[in-house]
Amino acid sequence: MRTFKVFKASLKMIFRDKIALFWAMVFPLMFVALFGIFSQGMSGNNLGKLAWIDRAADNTSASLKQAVEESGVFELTEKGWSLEEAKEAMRNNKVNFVLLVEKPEGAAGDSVFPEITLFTDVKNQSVNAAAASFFDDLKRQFFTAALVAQIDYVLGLDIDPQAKQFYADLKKELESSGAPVRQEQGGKNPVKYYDMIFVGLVCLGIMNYAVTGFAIHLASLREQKILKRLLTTPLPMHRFMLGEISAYLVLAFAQLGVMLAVGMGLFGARFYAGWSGWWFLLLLTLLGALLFLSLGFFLAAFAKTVNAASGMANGVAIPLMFLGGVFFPLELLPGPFYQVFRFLPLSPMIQAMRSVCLEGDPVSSQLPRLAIMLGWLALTAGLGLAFFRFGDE
Amino acid sequence: MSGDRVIEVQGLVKFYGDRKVLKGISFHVNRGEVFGLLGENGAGKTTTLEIIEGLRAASSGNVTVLGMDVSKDLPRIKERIGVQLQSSAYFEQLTLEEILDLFRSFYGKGMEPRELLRLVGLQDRSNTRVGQLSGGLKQRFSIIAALVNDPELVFLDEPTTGLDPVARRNLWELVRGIHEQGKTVILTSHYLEEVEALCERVAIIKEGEILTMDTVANLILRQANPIRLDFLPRGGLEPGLHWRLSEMGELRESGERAGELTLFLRDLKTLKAALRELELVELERMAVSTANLEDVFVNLTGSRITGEEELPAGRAAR
Repeated sequence: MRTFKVFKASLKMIFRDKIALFWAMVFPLMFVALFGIFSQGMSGNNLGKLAWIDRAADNTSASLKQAVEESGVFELTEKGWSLEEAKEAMRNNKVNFVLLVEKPEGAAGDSVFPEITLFTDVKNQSVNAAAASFFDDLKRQFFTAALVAQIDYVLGLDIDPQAKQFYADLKKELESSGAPVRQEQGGKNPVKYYDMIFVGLVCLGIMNYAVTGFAIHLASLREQKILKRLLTTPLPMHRFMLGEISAYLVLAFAQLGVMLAVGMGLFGARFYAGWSGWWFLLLLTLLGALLFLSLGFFLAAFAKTVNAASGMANGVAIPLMFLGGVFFPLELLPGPFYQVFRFLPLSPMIQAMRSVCLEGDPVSSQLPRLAIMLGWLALTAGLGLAFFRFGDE
Repeated sequence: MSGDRVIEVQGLVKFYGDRKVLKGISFHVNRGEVFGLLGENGAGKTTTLEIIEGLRAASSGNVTVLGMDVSKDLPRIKERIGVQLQSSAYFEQLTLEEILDLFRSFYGKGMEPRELLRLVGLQDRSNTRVGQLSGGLKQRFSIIAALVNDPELVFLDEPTTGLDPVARRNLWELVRGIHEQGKTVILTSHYLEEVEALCERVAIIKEGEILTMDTVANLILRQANPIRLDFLPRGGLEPGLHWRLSEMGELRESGERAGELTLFLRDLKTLKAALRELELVELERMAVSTANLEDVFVNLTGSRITGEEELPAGRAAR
């Protein structure tokens, strides 16, 4: 009854503190929305807007343009710009690339392949190489197609059978070598980059308010001597903490609900998990929230003021955010770094959630990661209990 | 419990690191009385109170509250005491009624929140948050929050510190009301007039030691010179008269008005003699009264307490 009263009061306090609640919900949601917008802007393989300047104006350049359009790699823009106007548009971020298509010098009629020049924007380094590579491949394909057409012409002539066989083999060879490389995802599910990021952001959201919010809350209660006042009552402090933790767990699940609604409902994030995966998500949320509340409790033990608690909590939460693999898979790190960072408190939560909810791995395969989380929970709770002071002594 | 003592403190010693802040304090509090611990800031009042409340551990000594040992029976003691801490706050996001209801739930028995709010005229502000109250109302609220379990023994640590005189006197009425309900009150203060107005018995504490302890009246009457004569001579006293008056008792600058002198005298006979000496002196004002608690404090400690600051002792006028 007493614990329930504390729980009810704590819940009221959490939801009445509108500013703290706003930031608890909005901070991770900002990332969810931001990455969601980026991912929608980069949907499919679209690399950006391409200004098409066609000075060749022949059948080949028309075919080339058709091939680019059909590829869907670029969003083509044709506004009758001169090359200089197109470059200016690129400098003003109206387009991302400018492609100049010209006839080779001295060529007349349809060229075998026009000369193409890709102008890129220095700000788009991450996609420039991909765009250049795309046109290299396209050029190779066109060249191959032109050769095959010439071979077909030769094969239509009455020539020596041995020579005919040679050309037929050559055609076959060219066709196979000119075909684009087939690309297939290795995993079981068609996981997008945003799905992976979204899982990291869900874990980040749960961690952030649990660590920062709880550490600041406890430091504030102590600074205002509310904890000391509670010590003068018969309420055992473990019951008070149980009520407080229960209220914060409700908030963690509310956060999860809001993030799933926004990430999945608005930005199309997907989980590839059956019922067991969803239950596992809830279990991970519970375990993660407990672990990070415990970390907040531990930090509050050493923070004499609210400002100190805020600084310490951010000092821990921000490195965990970057080193725990929120924004990239930890497996991309060099071996020794991976071996260290995978043991940080946030890392096993994110890795386990990605494995089960995105890759569809069985829950049983995540036991070692759950064990790491339980280890952190035991360590921080133990140290917190050893060092946290409710009163002055 | 010996007799009807609700608190018994024996040989209380407390160290903060190497610093001995309580040097073997002993006293008792009787059921139904208002007992005051009077002393300057840092004298050890709050430490003493917090050891009795179970918030701090004594380095040595024994404390029993309501017949129970604080070191062994604290949960049972907490059920029966009410504590108002020095400058503690309450949950900012809860209303007054919700806070009282929450604290009420920690005890086996208690008073209804609205009934408590009515005690201090806050019944119409039950949905207000603590942060929206004035300093005086906050203190009144913190005192009724100490009454949620209808305690037998109420601890008030500097209940009026920081309040204006009107709010302070309003709070005194509240404390008197609590006392009239038959509750025992132990309070600390550095306001002499507060202790004089509220407490039946007082312990004066300095640097971790109790200098004296008795009823306010007895403390005054136990003075060597309990009669007080304040006078303001126009143009000062001639040296011969100054010397003769000093020989009759204890002559000091009053410290309240420039040029005013206070002569402490042992009995009516010396008072009459002093008045005869002053017959030929032109006086701007003169008043005769008994000595007060401040005089007792100055005599015992050699210093005065005004507000929160220690001032030098009333200097001898010679």
